[in-house]
Amino acid sequence: MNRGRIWAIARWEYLQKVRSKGFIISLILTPVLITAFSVIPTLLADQGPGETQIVGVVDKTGRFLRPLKEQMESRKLPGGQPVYLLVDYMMGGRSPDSALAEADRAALGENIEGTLVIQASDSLGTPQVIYRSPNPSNFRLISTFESAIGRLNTELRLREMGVDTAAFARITEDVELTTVKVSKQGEEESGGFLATFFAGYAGSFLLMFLILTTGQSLVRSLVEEKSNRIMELLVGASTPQELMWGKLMGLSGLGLTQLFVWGVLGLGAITNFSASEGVNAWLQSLYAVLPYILVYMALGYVFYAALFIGVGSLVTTEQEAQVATSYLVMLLVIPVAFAIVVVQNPDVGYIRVLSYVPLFTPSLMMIRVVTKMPPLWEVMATIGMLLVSTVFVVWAAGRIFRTAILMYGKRPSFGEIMRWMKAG
Amino acid sequence: MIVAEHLSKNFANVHAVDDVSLEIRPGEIFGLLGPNGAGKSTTIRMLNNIIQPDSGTIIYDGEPFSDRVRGKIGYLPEERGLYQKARILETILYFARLKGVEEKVAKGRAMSWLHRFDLQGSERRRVEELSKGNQQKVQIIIALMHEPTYVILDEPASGLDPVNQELLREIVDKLRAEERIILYSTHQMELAERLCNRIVLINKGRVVLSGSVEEVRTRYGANNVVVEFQGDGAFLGELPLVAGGTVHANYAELNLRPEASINDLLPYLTDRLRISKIEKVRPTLKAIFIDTVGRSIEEVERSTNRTSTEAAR
Repeated sequence: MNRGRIWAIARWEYLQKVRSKGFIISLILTPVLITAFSVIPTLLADQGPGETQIVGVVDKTGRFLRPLKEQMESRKLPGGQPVYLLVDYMMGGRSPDSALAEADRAALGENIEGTLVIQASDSLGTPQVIYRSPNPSNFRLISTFESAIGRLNTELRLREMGVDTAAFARITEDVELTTVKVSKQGEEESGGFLATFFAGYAGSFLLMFLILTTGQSLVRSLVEEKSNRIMELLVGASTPQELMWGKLMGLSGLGLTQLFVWGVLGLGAITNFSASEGVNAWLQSLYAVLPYILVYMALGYVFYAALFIGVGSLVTTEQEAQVATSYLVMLLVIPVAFAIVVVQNPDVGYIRVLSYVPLFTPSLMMIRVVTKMPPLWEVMATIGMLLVSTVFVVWAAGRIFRTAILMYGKRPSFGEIMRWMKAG
Repeated sequence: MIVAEHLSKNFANVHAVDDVSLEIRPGEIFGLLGPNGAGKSTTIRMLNNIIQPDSGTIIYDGEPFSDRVRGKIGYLPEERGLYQKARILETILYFARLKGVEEKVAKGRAMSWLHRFDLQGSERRRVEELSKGNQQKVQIIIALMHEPTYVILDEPASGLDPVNQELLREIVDKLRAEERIILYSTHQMELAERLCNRIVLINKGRVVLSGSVEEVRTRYGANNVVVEFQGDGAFLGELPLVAGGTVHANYAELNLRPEASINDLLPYLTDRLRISKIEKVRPTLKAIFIDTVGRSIEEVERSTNRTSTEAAR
């Protein structure tokens, strides 16, 4: 093999793709999308309503309206207006039925959000609360009122029983639970379990996206080279082995570029936005497992890249390429779907067995090393297994590649592919 | 000199190339002729080491194929393609680099080639912005950038306009003058006749004719007659003393049976056609080609009749 030519091919593959619009878009868009999907809904859901909401009340018991109104209207929006305004529809001695009818009309006319109907349901006086609204799925409003009324009910009862409400407040104080991860090194990490989990999960996600974007562009360029007959020029000027290694190297360069940019962006974001002690502790714990993550990621990347090369050299049309790559992508998604199981129970038997399947090894092990460090022999054994399989896949892909790239039109049978691999 | 001996290549059950031998000498243009599917491309791919022959040997100036030889081959494939999104100059430089040409040298050569093909100023443009003919020029440049000793051109002229065909002919002539070893594969017999020193005609994977153009023409048939006429000449091909040939609207090239002469032919013509010229000629390569690959006049006639009746329906 001629190193100069491998280098030239790698450089060409890298430069052509790194400058393509598709790559630049995915480079920027992927982290944006990941952030958008994971952060924005949480942020939005955490945010209270933006403006005062008016809620009608028909309190048939007559006991809840005043304290409820007092309590709810004391909650203020950032602008100083109350979050909720309560309107008593039974004001002026109106009958509950006509009050309800008017409240419903107001709700339908979008003057109020909805109406709370509070009525006694049993002899003990436990209230039954009904929320009537054109939009009865405003879960934030519902849960706020539910807990407020529940608390009021308890308070009223206690007062009836002669218990001091200040004492009650102390009795029912919330207890906070924090997690501490205990590891062999004897460190106590208080970084929070979710953050640690996220590192492993993000790792396997990242690997998936890396392979997805670069793998697809590789297959597409192979299809172009075959359908345009550029292949004829390429194999006239170099050997198929050189071509494959050049592509593999160019592709890896592409993956590294992506990883580097995302890594810098990610770490930058973390250190900038929350330079707290928790984050530092978390980073410390991440650095401890980072070498393993990188090994799994690198091997996994080469493993899948070679798979893509082997499969990509077999297809001849854009449509076939779509079908083939989507199957490969499915293989990648499986372990990510397993992630939640792995996190809850990283030592369970079948997960340990699946960790040796090279298709799943990188993703599963990346999550396992961050949640609960497996025994060292297991780490070494899975790395060894992955290494051997990667060497095999690269070898097999090379065998298939050198024959398949010159076949136009006709798709080879499975038997033929087997024969190519056996042929010296 | 490229010496290929007894090349054979089978695909599944097809003998794509069957015992083909050729010898391409420096300072000559060697024509590889044959109909579609004759095995030309397979032969060319074996000469390029893109595929290996099942049997037979190829020797390049006394040595077998090696990486050194690879660097000395310039190849223009018949079915051409380039990276559509890539820029012209960088594409040329990429292939030059694969052939081991230093970047600086390559740049200078590329610019002068682009100038020669009237593509100066296009070096930053993308391949897809060029017309088909101009893309082909880029490919010719790629094939010749590293000043190859062995030049393998598969249908280089197809797709070029007459001006550029002439330019190509000049370039190929110059390569010949520089004592390079040139294989020129084509369907265009008139062109081959004018350009090539020696030819080999292959059909169904086998060599059917070979030698210098003069030799082939003389050997093939001294009994060819060209008739120029007015009238319906379709019957000419069916005359008993005609062995083969082609009939056009007012022109026919007929291969007479060995025992027949112009004198025997004349009586058939005089009362049915107005003859403006009749001449005994050596057959053109085109006539030989059509005759040899088995499309006799009858077959041509039958297929034209069939298409016309089909069209009439």
